[in-house]
Amino acid sequence: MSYTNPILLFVTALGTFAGIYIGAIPGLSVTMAVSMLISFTYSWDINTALCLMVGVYVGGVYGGSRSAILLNIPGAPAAVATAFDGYPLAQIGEAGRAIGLSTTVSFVGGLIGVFALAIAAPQISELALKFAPRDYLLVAIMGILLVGSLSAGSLSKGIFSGALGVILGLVGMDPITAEGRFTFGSVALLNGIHFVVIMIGVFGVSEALYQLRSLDAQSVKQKVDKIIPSWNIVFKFLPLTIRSSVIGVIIGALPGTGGDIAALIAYDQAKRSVKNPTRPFGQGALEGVIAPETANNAAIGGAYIPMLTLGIPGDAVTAVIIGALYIHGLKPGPMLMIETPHLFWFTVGNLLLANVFLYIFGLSGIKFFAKVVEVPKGILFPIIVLLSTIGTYSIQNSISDVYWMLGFGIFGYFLKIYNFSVGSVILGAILGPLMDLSYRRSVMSESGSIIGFFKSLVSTPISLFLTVTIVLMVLNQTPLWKLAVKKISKKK
Amino acid sequence: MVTRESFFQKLNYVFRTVFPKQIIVFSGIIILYMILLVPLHFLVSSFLFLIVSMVYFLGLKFAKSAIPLSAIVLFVIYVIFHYIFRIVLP
Repeated sequence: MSYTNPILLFVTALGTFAGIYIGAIPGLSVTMAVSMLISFTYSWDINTALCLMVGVYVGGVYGGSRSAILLNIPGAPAAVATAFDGYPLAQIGEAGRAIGLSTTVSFVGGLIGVFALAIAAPQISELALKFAPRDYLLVAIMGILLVGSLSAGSLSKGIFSGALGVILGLVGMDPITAEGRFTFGSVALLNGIHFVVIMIGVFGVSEALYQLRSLDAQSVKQKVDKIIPSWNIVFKFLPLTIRSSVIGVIIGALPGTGGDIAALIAYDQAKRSVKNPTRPFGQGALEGVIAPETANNAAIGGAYIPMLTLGIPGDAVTAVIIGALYIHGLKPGPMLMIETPHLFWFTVGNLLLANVFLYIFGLSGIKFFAKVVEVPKGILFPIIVLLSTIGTYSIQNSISDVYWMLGFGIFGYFLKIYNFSVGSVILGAILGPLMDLSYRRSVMSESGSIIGFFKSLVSTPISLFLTVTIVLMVLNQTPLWKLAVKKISKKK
Repeated sequence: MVTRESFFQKLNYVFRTVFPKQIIVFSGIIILYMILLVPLHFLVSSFLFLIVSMVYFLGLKFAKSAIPLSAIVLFVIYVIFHYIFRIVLP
């Protein structure tokens, strides 16, 4: 429990270090790594397992920026925006400066994210105690809509993949009557499809298949020096850093959206608000590296807020970590903070520690790094498949899970090709059972009347607010919305 | 009006963009690996899988280094997962 335990310190450091490389190697993603870690750390103590996952998460979100700067290939989706200005900086010989600066602001952003978590989570969890089952249903629906519409661009595709995940999550025994659903009379399906199996298939194998479509990258060969940025520069950009952190925390805390979207929004915001950038944006502006890098690390703390307080993941990685908590017999949600407050503070401390390690590792080992990133995909992908197989098998020691995993891998490949967001499938699979249960409970509390249920959706301030938000989100994507906007602007 | 020929051409085009050759072959190798996993046991089948897929991706020239590389990778994985993570391997 305590940080005097050297093993926990070591595991966190190891996780952060590994995370940086996992994030940096194009083709390995944080979600992939964390979903495999769930099954690998199955037999571990929960604290040690969490340390490792938090480390990998924090390191991985940062690590993507290095390959974005050196290779112009973001190692992780969260670093897409970093490449816009990071790579031009590397081309004019300032790779070292860009890496040093991105490490520093990642550290600062990460810290702000953790503080936001420490301050906001207790408040929100108190609010969450007032949540009725229907409010959970609404927040879950919002999460699926958000991840679908923001990451894949089209709301209909988002709803489709979210709904698909929900149906996958419903397979198996009915939580209230224990009847089999969607089992087609098969006993093997009665226990449901384990979501870790879906995760590893979709994030592991299908990612490997999808990445086969692009070729190996060559890194920029140049001397990387002057890594540690001067205080002047750090202070000069402090206002931008703080603004981007706030964006990161908020986007991260919205259910379903994480660092990748936060980084893009922060970049966009910096582009509009910074009047005199060091260089024009897109040609190596330092601001263009700072904004996304701060935001994506701040989003980590943000993403933990809904996860620890409501049991609803803030992004794909926290969705996976929720899975880990379930496996270890903990139920994330408002009761988590009350029953096991030490776990919350443990996570906060852990994130803090991982950020410190991030800073240490981030400023060292850059020469070694360039070699690691150049591992050919031909070697990498077979190993990913191998690890996916081990990971899937180890959850329930069942070979049929491995076949399921492969099936989801190939299926996920199709989803990716046609721009469906696989993140919302996973979110759906995790939130599906939760939505099912909270819907059933809320209808029951209205003594089975569907009209009463719809009435209850607008009866309390919390429910009303959530309902209106969801309705607006859906309307926003329909032609009706455009018509309304036109009419209103004409009247003015 | 879509003529029959152009429809098939389109189908062919779609097929080739969705399934580049590499992906079909690699999926085939993975499926074969999963089938062989039970009769040949984990270590043997994984060893074969690693060698075959590495040689497929990186060419026959790579075959010489693929064998020791696969052995090392498999050894490391086996040690880590069997002893550190204490996992039952297939």
